[in-house]
Amino acid sequence: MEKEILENGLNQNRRKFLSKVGLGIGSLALGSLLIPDLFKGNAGLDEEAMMAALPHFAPKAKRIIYLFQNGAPSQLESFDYKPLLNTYMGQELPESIRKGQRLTGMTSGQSSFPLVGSYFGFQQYGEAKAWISDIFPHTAKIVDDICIIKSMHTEAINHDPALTFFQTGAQVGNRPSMGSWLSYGLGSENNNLPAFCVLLSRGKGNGQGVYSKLWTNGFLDSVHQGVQFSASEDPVLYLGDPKGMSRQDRRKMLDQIASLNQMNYENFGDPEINAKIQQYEMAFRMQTAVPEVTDISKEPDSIIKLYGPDCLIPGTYAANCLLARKLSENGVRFVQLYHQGWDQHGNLPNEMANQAKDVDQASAALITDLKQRGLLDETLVIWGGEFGRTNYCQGKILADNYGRDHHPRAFSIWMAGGGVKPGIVHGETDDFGYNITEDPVHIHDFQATILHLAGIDHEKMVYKHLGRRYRLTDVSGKVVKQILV
Amino acid sequence: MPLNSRLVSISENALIAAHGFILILIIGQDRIQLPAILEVVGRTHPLLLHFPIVLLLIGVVLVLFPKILSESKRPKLLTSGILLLGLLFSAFTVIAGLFLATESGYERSDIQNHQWTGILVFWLGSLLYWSFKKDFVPANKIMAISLAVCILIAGHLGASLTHGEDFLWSPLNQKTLTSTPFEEALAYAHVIQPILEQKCVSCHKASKKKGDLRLDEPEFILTGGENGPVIDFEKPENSLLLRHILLPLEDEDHMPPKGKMQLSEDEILLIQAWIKDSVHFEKKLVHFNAESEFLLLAKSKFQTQKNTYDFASADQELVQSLNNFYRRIQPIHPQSAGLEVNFYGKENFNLEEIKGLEPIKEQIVSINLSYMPLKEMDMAVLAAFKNLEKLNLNFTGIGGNTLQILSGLKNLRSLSLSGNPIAPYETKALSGLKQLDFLYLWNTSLPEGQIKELKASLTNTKIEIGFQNDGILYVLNPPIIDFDQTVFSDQTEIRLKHPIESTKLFYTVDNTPPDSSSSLKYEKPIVLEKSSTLRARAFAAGWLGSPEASTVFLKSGKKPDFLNLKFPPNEKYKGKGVETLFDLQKGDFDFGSGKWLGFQENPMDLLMEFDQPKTINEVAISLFLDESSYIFPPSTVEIWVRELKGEWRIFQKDTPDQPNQAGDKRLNLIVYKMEQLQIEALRLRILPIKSLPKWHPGVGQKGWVFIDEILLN
Repeated sequence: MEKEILENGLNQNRRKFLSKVGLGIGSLALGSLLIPDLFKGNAGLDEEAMMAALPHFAPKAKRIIYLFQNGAPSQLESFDYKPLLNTYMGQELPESIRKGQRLTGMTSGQSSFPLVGSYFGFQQYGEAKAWISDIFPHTAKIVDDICIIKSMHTEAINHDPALTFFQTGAQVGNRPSMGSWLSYGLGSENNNLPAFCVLLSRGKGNGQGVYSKLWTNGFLDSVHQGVQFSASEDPVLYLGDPKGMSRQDRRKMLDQIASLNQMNYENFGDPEINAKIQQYEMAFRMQTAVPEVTDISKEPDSIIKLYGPDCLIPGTYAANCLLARKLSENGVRFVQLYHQGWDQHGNLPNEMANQAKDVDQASAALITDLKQRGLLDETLVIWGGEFGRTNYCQGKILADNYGRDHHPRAFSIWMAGGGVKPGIVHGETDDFGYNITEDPVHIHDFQATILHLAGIDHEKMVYKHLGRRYRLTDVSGKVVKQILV
Repeated sequence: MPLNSRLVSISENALIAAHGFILILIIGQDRIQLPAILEVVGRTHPLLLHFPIVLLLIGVVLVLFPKILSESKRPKLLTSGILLLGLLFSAFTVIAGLFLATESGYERSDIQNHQWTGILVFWLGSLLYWSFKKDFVPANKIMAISLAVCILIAGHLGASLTHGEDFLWSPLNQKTLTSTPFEEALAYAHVIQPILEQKCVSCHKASKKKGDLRLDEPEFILTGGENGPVIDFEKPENSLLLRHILLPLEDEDHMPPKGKMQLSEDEILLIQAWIKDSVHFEKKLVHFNAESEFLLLAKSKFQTQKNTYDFASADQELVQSLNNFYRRIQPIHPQSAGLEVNFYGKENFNLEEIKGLEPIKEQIVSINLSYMPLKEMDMAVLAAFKNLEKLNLNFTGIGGNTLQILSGLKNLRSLSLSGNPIAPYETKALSGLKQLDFLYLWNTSLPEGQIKELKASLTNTKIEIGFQNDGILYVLNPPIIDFDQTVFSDQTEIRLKHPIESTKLFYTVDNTPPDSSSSLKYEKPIVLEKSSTLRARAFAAGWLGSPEASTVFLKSGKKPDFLNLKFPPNEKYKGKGVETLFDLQKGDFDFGSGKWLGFQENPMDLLMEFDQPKTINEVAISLFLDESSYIFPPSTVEIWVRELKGEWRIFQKDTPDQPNQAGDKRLNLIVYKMEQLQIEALRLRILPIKSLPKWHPGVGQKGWVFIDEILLN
């Protein structure tokens, strides 16, 4: 073995050296052509230099809570008020509006696309006079703290690719999730808790699955993977000591293992061994940190009222919102919630009202709660689904029932805190609620903005994998300056 | 070499002809009227000029150092050939240049210098060629050197014409934005001018007024160009300047033209906002309306300037050494000397953790102590952090006469005291904290009046009192019924729990709805000795009573020796057959689990026989109800008995109450007293409802009955 290494080392001659140097210079020149700022400035594209400079500028949002409404809540029954649809109820969607938009297999076979207006009423709220539907009364109360973006658009038309696109910047899985990127870029604030936590809940509405690939670390180091908290008595699985094991015993055991590992490390020098020791230690600290964070019994009564009594039932959206606040308060960089059940192809009035009831109070409570603790200005909260819903009815319009198919061209989300301008509405759609007329925000723009708020230049946080450099925003994305404080 | 010499002589003749032509052009320059095709020739000037520069410079080197060619067979021919070729190209270049100069848009005087040095290159080169051929050695070298100098000067002047005057040196003396602090910055000089200078002025300046427009001085910007003013004060969005910028890149009139350095997205937004905000030249940024879009955009250019402090950065290694798992110190951002400190894990906290920050007390601008158990004395140590701007003391338990200490922190802008029981007299200390921008007082038990007073004395502070319990009544969630087993032999113990401590729990075991007046109040674990449905609700002051929680508990009974079902259960819900009804396995909310038998088409008709007659006190039927899943109480329950040596007779016929709306999934128990009959055989007929009621979506269809256990006691 050693002989081969030696031979390989000697297997250098002038010709090889020159050809390598030649190639090297050639590729440098080519590289500088293809990547104009390769030699610009001192940072260049050298990942290490870039990472060392993180955050690239003063972060506005130190922590992020993402309230993902999985299944795609209808913008037309929430924040995008389109009275025209009620006027033209039942009439055909004009082709001049649809402009050949592809449809999902669920409605592409429909012979007619009757427009349908919201069965719920809308009122204007706040300084921005934002329209909010009657099924979100609590959100209406915090309208002056949030920024509603009515002009989101995406490329995907089905749940899984759309969700994956939102979370990882690509429609096909295997890229790191947004939370993983932040964990990679900014590290953990509190070394006793994971930097990226995931909480799941499910409403009664028609649901779509969420999979662990949404909080994957992709090609990043596995320490950046999202840690899923479960609704059971053990929020983090396999963290508790088995019955009969005392903390001292555990400490002793870890010390012994650590000294064995240390011996191995001294022999082989493999950094993974060191990483292992660190991870055991972190788990040991988590054994006290996690119960302290997840304990809601000491929350004052007014908090229960604020979030609604559901927050006491583990696994509900309200409980997850409360837990998200507690995790965030304790320095968890990124808390990702998913609330399933927003896929209203049919039975929309009934299901959507129920879904809204599940999330409205607790989402608003989270904003109020962060605000009253003085944390809202450094915590970014995002509420929204993976795409919008069509302005035409899926199936037949009945007196008390209709449905909407997937619509990627325009939908609404809201953001609050963490450097986002409060009390504004950004973007506008046409009177049919079908196309964006003002300030479109693409998913990559949205991601670039989030990274910007976290103090990261989205073009400079890169990771080289399989010969190419990857970013959360892939090859595009513009920061939406208009919504920044 | 006849070919060579012929080529040389042809070229030399062409060169002489060119000299003549150029002389004519120079003399008649002002009167030239060019046809369009020659304008194209003129525009090849920037392309052609590179050839003579290179060729002539090579020629100069060969003249100066002839030894380079010592190995060549005919060094002289080579050198003169290169010079000749270079001269021919320079002739074309000069001609094209003279054509180009007739086009408008260039400042005469600037062009003059370039033009004459360029022509000088041509003339000097020709002289050199001639003297080289004649072997005037010292003259050659002098001429070669002057030619090289001339080429450089002409080239530089030309470059200045196209790229702007200080194009070459500008990277060395760039005026960066960041050198001016935000407070001093002017709208034009520090935000707009640098953009124009970089992207526009090279074509719109004194020496090169494309479109007769200059953008290098405010007065010219206001004057405009050949198409009139470029800024429209009436309708800013119609301003020519903006319109040209916003045209698509492909458009002929797009500015800067395709191929030139383009304005970035941000720069366009800035210019747009600046024009809309009525084109201020001398206005300071700080004097702009806080809401102005221009200000918001411009601000980001100065962001790195914010958070600069007069104190020096702390030693990085020192900061690192002070970090531990429960105390995290980090710069507020990489370029800042300011540090923020977060404390985590209250069990690992003690006062030493704060005192340990002494070496970096000057740099610390933000401390987060939320949830750390602080004692009254501990506040004093915070006074050491003179530069503190942000302090989070939420839920630390402070509350005594300690807030006074904070008045020494002159830079404190944000103070969070939420969750602390602050005594009313402390407001005096708080009202002295005039330096605060933000004060968070949620859940501090301060009375409303005190807060009002505070607001009156701290007029510049935003006081946040957060969510107030404003008398809205919410529904409590149901109690949790905690038990070890639902089927028991002698007796079982059941506990009721509720996540909110202040709740009172009421329950019934006789299948009546519980309420807070007539029902039993839960005080200690409930002991059940017979099959029962436990129903419980929670009540608390300030809340609406909870919905009901209920669980069925079954006392295991006598098992008949012979069992037979006249009709089998539905194929999908057949469990383990008739045995399922006596396996003492309580079913849960999943009616497809195999622990439940489901009946729809046929009634459940169960025959039970005992080898020896048994005394039966009661018959209990354990049901599952879920109206949304079409599962209803039975329409009829019939109990037939055959006593010792008797005949079959119907003992009881019951029609249970039907619900009039869909309820949640729930377990139910129907109990029938049997008056201690000595029974040999028993027959139970349970009929599903034939037709679902009107209120149900499946009106008219057959209902289901689900049974998991029959209990005979």
